[in-house]
Amino acid sequence: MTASNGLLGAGFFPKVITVILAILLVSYLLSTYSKANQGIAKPAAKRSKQSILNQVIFTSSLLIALALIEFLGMLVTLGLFLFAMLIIIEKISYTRSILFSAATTVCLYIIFVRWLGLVLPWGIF
Amino acid sequence: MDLQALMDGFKSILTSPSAILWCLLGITIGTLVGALPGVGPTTGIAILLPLTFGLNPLDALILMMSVYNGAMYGGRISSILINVPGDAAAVVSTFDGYPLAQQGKAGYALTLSAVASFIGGTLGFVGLAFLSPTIARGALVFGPPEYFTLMLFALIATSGLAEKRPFKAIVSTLLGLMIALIGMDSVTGEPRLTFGLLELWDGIDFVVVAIGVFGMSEVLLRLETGSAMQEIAAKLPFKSLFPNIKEIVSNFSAIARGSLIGFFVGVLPGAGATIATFLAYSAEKKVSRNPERFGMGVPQGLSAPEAANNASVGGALIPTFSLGIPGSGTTAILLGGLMMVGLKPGPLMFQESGDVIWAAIAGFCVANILLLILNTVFVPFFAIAIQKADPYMAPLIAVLCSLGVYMMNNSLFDIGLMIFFGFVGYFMRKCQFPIAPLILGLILAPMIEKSMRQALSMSGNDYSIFVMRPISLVFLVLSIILLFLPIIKKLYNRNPEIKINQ
Repeated sequence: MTASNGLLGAGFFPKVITVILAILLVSYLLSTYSKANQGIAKPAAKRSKQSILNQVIFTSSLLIALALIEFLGMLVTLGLFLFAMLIIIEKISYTRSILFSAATTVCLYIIFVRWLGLVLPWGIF
Repeated sequence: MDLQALMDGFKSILTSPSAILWCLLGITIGTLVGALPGVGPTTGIAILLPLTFGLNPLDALILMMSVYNGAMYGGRISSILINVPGDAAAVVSTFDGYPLAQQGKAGYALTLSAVASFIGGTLGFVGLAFLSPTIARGALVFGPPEYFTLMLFALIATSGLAEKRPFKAIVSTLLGLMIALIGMDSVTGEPRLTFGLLELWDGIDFVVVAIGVFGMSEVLLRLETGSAMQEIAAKLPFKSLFPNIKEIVSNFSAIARGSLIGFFVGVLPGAGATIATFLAYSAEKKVSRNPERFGMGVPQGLSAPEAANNASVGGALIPTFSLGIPGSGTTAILLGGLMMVGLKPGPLMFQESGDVIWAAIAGFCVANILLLILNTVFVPFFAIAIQKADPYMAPLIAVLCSLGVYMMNNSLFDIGLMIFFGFVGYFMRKCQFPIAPLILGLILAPMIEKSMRQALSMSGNDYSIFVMRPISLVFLVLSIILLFLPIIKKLYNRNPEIKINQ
């Protein structure tokens, strides 16, 4: 808890916070257990299969995009991700999705690369 | 107030095309994000933080403050037109705003609320310009012990620890503090909570966490709930957007009361715009001759909370600028943004970066004027835009979040972390854990740790330094009172004799 000079060490705050969190967690578990035993615990709200599927598709697409950034570059990958999400999840027509994704990618290029001069990975491009 | 400095600030804003441009962009985006249900000012600023990376400090500050101001204006549009508040502070605007729209007075309701917001915002600006430098000068005597106890007080007050059921707020605050401790200790150089990952040695940037818990979690929630938008039934003829002077004057006292309530509640840490709007509404109901008409489309029931909502922005910025202590989740993000662009919020900021701060305060006034124009003349455009933009929002937010987080350190690992924090934020929101305390803990943790270490170093590890110095003792006592307030309230409610005697 204290450093060699006798002052607060690096571990002081993490240890204090961990102890408080552990106490809170135990008390929460005990109260949830006692509520469940008394039958006053609220049942968890059920989520629709479609919403779970949407979240799974979204997260896996983002992770795939993450892997493709080095290869295809940041803006192209994010443009493709945007297009795929508009088609698959939002069920927007192909024409509108292409137009919106292309326009967004061009806007991002103009703002971040041209205007603000930020460096982005370009991959094979 | 340093009037000359403020005038110089106006001069730098009005002669800088880039500042005006970022101000316009900020208020437009702010109005849109404010109007879109679920997004709100905190998420709006968090998502747009990356835009500030390439900007100079003044433009960055103007952009963030304009988004904040614009979001406070925008929240009312969806409240009035479709009975869906853009953010928590706009909930009260649905009470009388939506009934007014149903009576065919949507244009009147929108313009009246815009005028009320303008007057509230102007009072907030005056208060900010007058009080910030005065408080900052007073805080110059603060040393590390005073800062430590002040931040402790701010953390307790703002994170809801003093509320009736503080469990979730405490856990959220502690998680924020814990995340902030990840990385190499700045004093001893030892790695903390890095789990052997080299990428965590530099710590986790607050932008990654903020964008994750606000932006990405919003996307995950949107994917679950779908579009919250409904068809806007009310038509907004251009002529209806301009109420006559008589109608405005009849609301003047309500607007004045709302503005004052909003400003003073805004200054208090932890109170915020939501409480301000509810207080202004109930105050108006109390002074009204026909309180039973409230909820049926009373103009004062709309104008007072709207004025309070916008006046609270100026109030909330006072402790952020003058003490470096954020009073809410939104100002915590703003504070992080200020530090990111190289400013050091606190008593010395007016001396070290006075030109930037005074120009930003002047920009706050300019944004307020531009918002009045934007929110009256262009309201039909915003009404259509929020409906048309809604289906595109979830993927667009995800793209902006990913791009923004990558640009922080050119690191794909950060995007992975952002996705992780997106899920953390999502589950916290699903389980009704407040997110704002997490961000407050995250922002304040390094400062708390640093000032505590400095104080103890000053006293040779003697903890009595916190009670021996009067200002520090005052904050400590206030913190203890706040902590025990729920218990005192509980005891008071259990003992009916106390009530009877009173």
